[in-house]
Amino acid sequence: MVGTEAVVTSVRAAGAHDVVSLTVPDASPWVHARPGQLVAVPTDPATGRVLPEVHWLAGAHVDPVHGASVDLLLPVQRQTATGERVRLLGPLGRGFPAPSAPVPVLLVGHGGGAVPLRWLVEVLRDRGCPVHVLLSASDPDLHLDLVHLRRHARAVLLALPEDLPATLRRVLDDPAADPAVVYAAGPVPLLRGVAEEALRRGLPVRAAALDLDGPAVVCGTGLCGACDLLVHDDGRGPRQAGRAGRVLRPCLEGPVVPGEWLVEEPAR
Amino acid sequence: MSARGPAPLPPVLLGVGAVSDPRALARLGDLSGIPVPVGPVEAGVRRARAPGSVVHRVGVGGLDHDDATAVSVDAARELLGWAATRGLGGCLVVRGTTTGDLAAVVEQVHRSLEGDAVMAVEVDLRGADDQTVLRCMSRVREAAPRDQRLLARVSATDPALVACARAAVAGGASAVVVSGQVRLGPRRWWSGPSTAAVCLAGLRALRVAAAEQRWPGAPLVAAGGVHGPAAALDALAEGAASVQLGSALWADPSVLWTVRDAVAAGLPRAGDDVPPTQSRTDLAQEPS
Ligand code: FES
Repeated sequence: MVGTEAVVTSVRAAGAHDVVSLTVPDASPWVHARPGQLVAVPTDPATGRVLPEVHWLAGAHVDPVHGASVDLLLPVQRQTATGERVRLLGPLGRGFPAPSAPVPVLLVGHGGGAVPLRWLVEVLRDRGCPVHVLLSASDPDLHLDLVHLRRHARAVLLALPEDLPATLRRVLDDPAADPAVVYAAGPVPLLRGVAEEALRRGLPVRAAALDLDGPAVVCGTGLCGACDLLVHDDGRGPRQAGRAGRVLRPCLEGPVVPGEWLVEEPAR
Repeated sequence: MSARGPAPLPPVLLGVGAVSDPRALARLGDLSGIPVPVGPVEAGVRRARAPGSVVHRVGVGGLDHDDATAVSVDAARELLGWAATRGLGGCLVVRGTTTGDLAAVVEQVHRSLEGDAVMAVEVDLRGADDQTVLRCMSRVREAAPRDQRLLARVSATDPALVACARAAVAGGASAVVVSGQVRLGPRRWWSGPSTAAVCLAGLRALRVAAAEQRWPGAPLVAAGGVHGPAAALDALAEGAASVQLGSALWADPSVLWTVRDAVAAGLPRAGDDVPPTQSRTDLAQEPS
């Protein structure tokens, strides 16, 4: 895989982001693309830029008549324009697995880090899963494409970052939501908190453990290891107390990982 | 490796600090003919896995980052084993404070089951004076198999660059890696396309010095600012026989294959006119 040349076909404003659709000439890499996977946009060093753009995949649609298209949520400041040619490396990494049965699901995210949830909510609704979404953001403008989320989710709850833990506990214990699975995306400390609360209630958790808004993302392709993360799993089968943790490279082995890996003690 | 001497220098090498896990690169394309970077290995280090890169600041045309952290011999063996099972070889990068430490690492790796997968050994000698370079390379030459290709990594910014290159060859180096990275402090470097001029200046200095017989000459590897086919061809034009890719792979991993093809096409073939330096004339020569 050495990348594909995509063309921007539409740009729609959504708060601090643009929802950008691109057509890709070869559908095959995108057929099995999932929410939680990444794309890297290589840079030309002649421009003086030395690192690629790394984005969450926000949608991939393969249609036998119209070909394949990919959606990305790009910052407004990028000033993406229709007709722009963008080279994409991807889809990269392991995405969110869909539940095998149409069970109620809770999605938890923070700010722009919640991008993978935007597509996930659509996928889950298509599978018949009732979805509740809980989002936090320090500024209302930073909430993600709420129109889209509200169209697909049964409920969308917004919270300030400091109120998120209490709101999360309320939703987890709310019989109206009654989630059977929790999916999360955002900064790692938030993911650890979500995993602890959900695992304490015996709920399976899957988390996208890469903070694209943070300073720790350099390459997005698994080469540099700047995103390396200590996880509480030693890669040797079922977790036991007293086992050492290991370093996980989210761009290579994730970014979506089981919630158990993010908490220090397994739930009892 | 043949009994007559080391195999030709691969057209493209990879910087060990930029590719801390080659499995990531292998999922993006075919690595055949490209030695997997292994290390840097230092005697006494117990780290089982290369930790991630630490980037302090990103600027125009480059970034300020820490040196790659050393790993253990066992970590190197594991990576060489991974490479061997895929039909690949590795370039073992060694670092050390004493000649004995360097030799010990090379001996341990070569005596191991995975030792056969070592295609080349690169000794990081940036910042060392010519006498140290001579002692280190001589000791590593003794420790390595006779036909092992040995690369000495020296800094293009070193005022004693020619003396260091001469010492490296006298000590048994079969190629010299000319690093364009700029030292920003202890174990801290500036890398990126903006270092191309530094690297090219180093190549030029060594090419001129070889023509004036101030050192015997050896194949040169351009390691700094090679971020695409054009930069790679510039390096060849200045006398490099091969290029090493580093942070360019972070910007775009696919440059590995575009640069490999460009370098392969740009290298002289048998029967072509050869340039005055030795760097492009005999890539399969016996080590001195
Ligand atoms: S950012 Fe480079 S490996 Fe994750």
